[in-house]
Amino acid sequence: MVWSDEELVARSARGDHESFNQLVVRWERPIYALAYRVIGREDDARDVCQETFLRAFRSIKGFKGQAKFSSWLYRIALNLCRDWMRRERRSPMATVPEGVDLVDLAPPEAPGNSLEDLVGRRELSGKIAQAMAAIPREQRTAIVLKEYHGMTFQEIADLQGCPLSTVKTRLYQGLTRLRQELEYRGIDRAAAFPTGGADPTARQQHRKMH
Amino acid sequence: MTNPSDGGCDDKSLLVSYLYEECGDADRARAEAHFAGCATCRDELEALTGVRGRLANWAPPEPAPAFRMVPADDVTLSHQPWTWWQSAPVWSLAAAAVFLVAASVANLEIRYGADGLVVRTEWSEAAPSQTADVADDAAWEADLAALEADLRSEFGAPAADTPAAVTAGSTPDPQPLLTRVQRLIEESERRQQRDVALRFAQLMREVEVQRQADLFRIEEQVGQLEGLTQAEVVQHNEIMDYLVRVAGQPGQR
Repeated sequence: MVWSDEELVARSARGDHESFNQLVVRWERPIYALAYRVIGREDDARDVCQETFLRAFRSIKGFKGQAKFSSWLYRIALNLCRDWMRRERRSPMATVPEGVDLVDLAPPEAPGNSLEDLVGRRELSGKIAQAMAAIPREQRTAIVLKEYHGMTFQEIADLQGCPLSTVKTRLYQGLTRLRQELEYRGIDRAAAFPTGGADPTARQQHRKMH
Repeated sequence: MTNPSDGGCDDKSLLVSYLYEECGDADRARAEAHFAGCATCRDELEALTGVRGRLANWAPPEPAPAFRMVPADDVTLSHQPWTWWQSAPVWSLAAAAVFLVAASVANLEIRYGADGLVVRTEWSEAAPSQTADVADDAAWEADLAALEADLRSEFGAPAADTPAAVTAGSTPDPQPLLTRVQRLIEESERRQQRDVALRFAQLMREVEVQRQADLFRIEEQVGQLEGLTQAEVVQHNEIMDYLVRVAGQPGQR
């Protein structure tokens, strides 16, 4: 039986940990990916991801479905990312709700891919990460939400709390700046598209399933 | 929309909408009409499309976190949040109890025969000794050996020569001896119970860990499938559109 997010939210609000855990299973990867790409640091992204779910759990009774659960979660995560980057909240987290905690069940190492694959991808990933880190946060956030989370301009505008036209401007300026940063790092655009836009993360997830 | 009438070079909003396939038919036509006659904007569109293609290679580091909410009582075990006795069904606990009793009875062999008193436990060598047990075992075996030596000397004649001569009546005062035997038997029972409990705990833990891992993997895959659907649709749209765009402009490449 697969419940909708809304049903799981309702059950979580009645104190059902397992239902909340199903929401966590469903959304932890996107939230982690979002935090990583916005902040650019793995440890902080993990902290933000965990903190996002702790906050969501704490206030899930107050979530009345005024927005999609995922939008609500994204908003929490983005606010945390902003705080993290301002370094106001680098101190230890103190928001663990009464009576519960989160445990990390992730395996200590990545599942086996070929080493060349991994190194090559890391090198490219690293350069893209550097280029992305060089552009302003709000432009970067807009690009991340668009490219990796498939959001519409309007959804991004709602999340970023700005007019739709501002989102487009951020995307345009961000991509333009990114283009310069990538070229500066020797990633020329001639060889850029053969990957066909496929997300290596998605491919990897495919592989793991077989 | 700085220049909504003709979608000119300054209309970056239109460029972005076109780039991300988020415009109506009218805007699309307007954009394409402009690109057809403006190499600068065409180049820019191509460059930004290239940037988007590069972005597809940016994967977050693995492994992704896998957090689970657990009641705070369990958190003391941090990476092993479920303990076997909390999750084991009642029937298995009952079975374990029966097993324990049965083991302590069935595998303890006490014989008093021609070659003297024999206290033997079938399990003593089968037990997978934890390091802490080794010293314990040694002490216990030494006790047993001492008892045997005492018995032999107490019965006087060398047991090997005249086993038939040994009778119960020849022992002057059996009470201290019986106490010692009793103590050794209790010791043996205690050890067996602990071994069984340890092994049972180990087994349950392994089963539980495996179960959690399986469960988690299944959930994760279901989650990924759901998450993928949207991403794949977007990707397919991108590829499709790129192909359409390339196919539609054969002379301009």
